This record gives sequence, structure tokens and C-alpha cells, in this order.
Amino acid sequence: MEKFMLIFHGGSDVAPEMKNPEAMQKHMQKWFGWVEKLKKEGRYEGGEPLEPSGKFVSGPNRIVTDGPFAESKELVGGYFIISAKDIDEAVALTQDYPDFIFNGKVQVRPIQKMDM
Amino acid sequence: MSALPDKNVRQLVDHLFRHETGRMVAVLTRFLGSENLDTAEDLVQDTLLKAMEVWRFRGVPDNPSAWLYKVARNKAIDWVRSGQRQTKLLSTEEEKIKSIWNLSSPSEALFQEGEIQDSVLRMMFACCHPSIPLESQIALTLKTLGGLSATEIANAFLTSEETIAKRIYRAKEKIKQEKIRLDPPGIFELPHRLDSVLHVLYLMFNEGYHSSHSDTIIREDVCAEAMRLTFLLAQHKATGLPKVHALMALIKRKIQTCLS
Repeated sequence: MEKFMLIFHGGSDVAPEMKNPEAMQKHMQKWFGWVEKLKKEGRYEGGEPLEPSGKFVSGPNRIVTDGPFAESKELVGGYFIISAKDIDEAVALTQDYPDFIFNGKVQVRPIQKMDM
Repeated sequence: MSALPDKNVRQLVDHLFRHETGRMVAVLTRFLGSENLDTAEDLVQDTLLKAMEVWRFRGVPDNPSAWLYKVARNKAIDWVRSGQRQTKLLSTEEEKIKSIWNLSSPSEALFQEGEIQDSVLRMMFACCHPSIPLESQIALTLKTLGGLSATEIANAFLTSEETIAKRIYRAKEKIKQEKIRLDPPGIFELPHRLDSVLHVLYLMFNEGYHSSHSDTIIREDVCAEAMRLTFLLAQHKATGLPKVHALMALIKRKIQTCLS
């Protein structure tokens, strides 16, 4: 089993459909369902939501700037760590990601291993 | 990295967001003043978005309602403190709000169950104020207290979303123009004001009950909402008057005959 990071871009938090409390709750329920499924299959390792923005520290002078100010559809809302046999299986596990209908994107990145 | 504890991935209470929306809007509007009803609604919307963002990764907190109120309260404090607010609060209001928020544990008591219900009742009286046209009263009540979207209300009333949006807009304008506060009605005013509240609740219930579309979920929700608000009125010592119980009995009877 290898580990993968799923990085979620955009999605439900910018969709106009999400103006309705009932719809919001239903949508969140889908996320719970997805997480539950991943856990049942022993794939879910963890995950955290991210605040929309923070700080950048850059260069030899450690310049601190605010950011990122990505367009909301590109914004990283959070990440999961999952385990999968290979990248194909990891991609397959994103099938139930609930935000596709809101044009959300999932970045699937293999986590590098030490023993290479 | 924290794995989601199993117990946290569970189903939320049905309609939790919708029900708490109305209650939170009522509480925040009571603090921010009825002229800031729109802001209260925006802050509540932000609160639900925040819940969505966080809960889907972390799972549902042990006390989801308490979590929502805490976030909503903090958002309201931020809004009052920030100079960016669009509408200037009336200076006296502002002082009042500041003094409330500045307490070491700001408004903790006002977010207790009893006070929340009190705010909901006040909101109900404001939404059903006689100077607001009747159609708008119903729409506004369903929107602010029932947590129904304009689309849902439009479906229930077999009209367009635009029409409902206009009714809600007009109702809010009236609240601003007439400076309808979230004060409880005075003792002499109460019977008259209560009548218009009961009228709205009755129409609301009827709207959900007598309909060719009675099998749709939204219609059922409109009935349930009318019942819930009537029940709230019946429970309160100032408004638990015979005619409120009479309406409650009428609603219950209709539902029973419907079920039997």
C-alpha cells in the first residue's frame, strides 16, 4: 500500500446552490458517506480543512506576505491522506468526491517514500 | 494528522441546519437590530459554510448546535468590531451591543435555550407585523424562521422564486422603514399582534395542508414549520393563551384525520 494526498480545490463552498441550509446539510452528508466508505475499506488515513488564506514566508530575507489569494475556484479547501495500491486505485477512490458537481477538482499526489 | 473518530462520522439530526438557521437569525437580529436583518442572515450563512468546511473533515462535533452558535456569535462580534460594516448602528444600539459583547463571557446567557426561544418569538412578532402585507409576512416567516430558501417557498406556493424574493424584500424594507424592533409587544398590544401571528401560522399550515402537491417534502415541511412555531407560542407563558392552544388543537386534529 502506498500513501496519497488528495488535495481539494474549489467546490461546494463557492457554489450558488449552497445558499440553502437544507442543501448544505445534504451535501455535507455526502462527504460523511464518502469518508465512511473510505474508512470501511481501510483507505482513510486522515485529513484536515484549511483556512482560505494565511501567510507566505519567502526568500533569504524571510519576507512575510499575506496569501495565497487564489481565485475561489482554485482555493485549496483541505486534504485527505489515503492509502491505495497504486495511483490508478487512488484515482478510482476519488469517484465519490461530492464536489465534482460544483466543478471541484481533486489533485492526487503520491507521497514519496524513503526507501527508494 | 488526526483520523476521524468513528463516533463523529454520523448522521446529523434531520433538518438541523434549517432549524438552527431560523433560531440563529433570530438571536443575531435581536443583537444587531432589526435594520441589520440582512447582515444577520449573511452571518448565519457564513456560519453554515464554515460548519460544512470543517465538519466534513473533522466530523460532527459532540454538540453541533452549540458549535454553530459559538461560531455565529464570534462572527457577530467580529462584525460589530470591524469598521467595515455597511450600515451604521444607531449609536445607542451600538453602545448596548458593545456592552453586551464586552462582558467577559459575552452574551453567554443570551445564547441559552430559553433566550433563544425568546428571540425566535420576538422575531415571529416582527415578521408578522401588521404593517407588512400578509403575503410578505408568510414569506418572511418561512424564510427567516423556517430556514426555507426562496426557491423552496416558491415551490410550496406554486409561484415563482422572483415573486417570493420580492415579497421578502418588501417585508424587510418595511421592517427598516417602520423601524420594527424585536421588542416583545406590550400588554395592550399583545392580543392584536398575536392575532396576526396566528393568522400567518394558520395560513402557513393551510398552504402546506390543502394542496394538490401535498406529497412533496417541501409541503410537509411548511406544515411542520407552522406546527413548530405554534408549539413555541403555546409553550411561552405570555403567549400560551387559549386561542394559541386552539390553533394547535386544530392543526393536530387535521393531521390526525389526514393520517387515519
